Amino acid sequence: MKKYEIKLDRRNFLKNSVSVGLVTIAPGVFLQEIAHGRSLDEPASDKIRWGMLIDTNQCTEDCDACVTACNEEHGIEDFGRPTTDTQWIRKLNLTNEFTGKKYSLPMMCQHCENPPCVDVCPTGASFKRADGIVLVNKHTCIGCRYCMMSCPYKARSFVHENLENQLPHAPRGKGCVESCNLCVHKIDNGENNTACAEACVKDGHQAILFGDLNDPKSEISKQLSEFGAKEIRSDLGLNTAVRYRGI
Amino acid sequence: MYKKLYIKILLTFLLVFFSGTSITHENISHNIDIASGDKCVEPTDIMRAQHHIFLNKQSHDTVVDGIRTKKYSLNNCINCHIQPSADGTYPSVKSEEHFCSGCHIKAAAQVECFDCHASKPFNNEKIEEEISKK
Repeated sequence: MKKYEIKLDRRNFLKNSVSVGLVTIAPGVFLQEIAHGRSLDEPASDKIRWGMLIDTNQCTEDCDACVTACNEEHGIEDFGRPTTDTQWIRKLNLTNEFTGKKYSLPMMCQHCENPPCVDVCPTGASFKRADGIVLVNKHTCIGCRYCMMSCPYKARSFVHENLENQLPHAPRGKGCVESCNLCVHKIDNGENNTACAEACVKDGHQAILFGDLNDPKSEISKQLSEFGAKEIRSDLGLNTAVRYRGI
Repeated sequence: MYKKLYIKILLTFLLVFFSGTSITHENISHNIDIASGDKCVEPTDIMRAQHHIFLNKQSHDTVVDGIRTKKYSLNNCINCHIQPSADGTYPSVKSEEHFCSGCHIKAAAQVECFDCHASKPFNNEKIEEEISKK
């Protein structure tokens, strides 16, 4: 028994504390390296979970900079048919009937941890990528629109029109379902921000914050742990990656 | 023993059958932009026979895993092979002047890539012009 006794003198204490310190620092450093420097030939990592924090107090009713930026980024055209036109992100203006308080917020794919759209997809086209982004593989999508019906956030759109002049980084076509992809092409190229978040900052608001939810050192994680945020329809247990503050 | 022979015969037949498509359109010119590279990512005979295999694999890797290597990407093909004509416009994917359609129309093999993917190189200035016109 005496063999395993640890002598807690000054020298041993220092030795142990240094080694514990190294172990705890190492994972943090490693995570940050992945988040900010994934090379083009590396697959997306499940150590990361991309998400967004939306501060509804910063979002104003008359501003739709995020919607315009999203449409421009992905070449989404307006055909003047509001019931069937594609939308990846939309603005909601709500009023609490009891208090009369008005809210304005952007609504898009919430990138659930347990996405119902993936559960119902008959071909496996709707899937969740390793880093938590919920996507449609348009090569296998047959346009059945089950995912649109299953989504509690009405986040998905079906492309009803023949499209031309698509952008090289955003292939889109008639007969497929699509939704917010968290600007996956920007993430893969290491920009690690979305068009809507950039536009929001540019327009003088700071309502949308994009970042890695798994990295405790990221700005989004710090804000989430300090101020907290709500999940819309948290009763469904979907664990969304898009969280709202001020609602 | 006979089983092995059958497999050999089958393989020979398949080889002859599939190599036939590449023999039929050998005379089509394969214009490559000298400025962006003097040769393709693989030798011409391999590209003729297997470009669809490379593209299929690349599409899966990119969409599912987020791998964005340039070598076999469709955008890389387009940027190099689709060159503007004398008046500065890019050929339509419906015309035989388009690099892909040149062979695919002749071989009557319908290509569906460009229902969704861009069929011409990305030109920032042109898109900005179009947006400003609207």
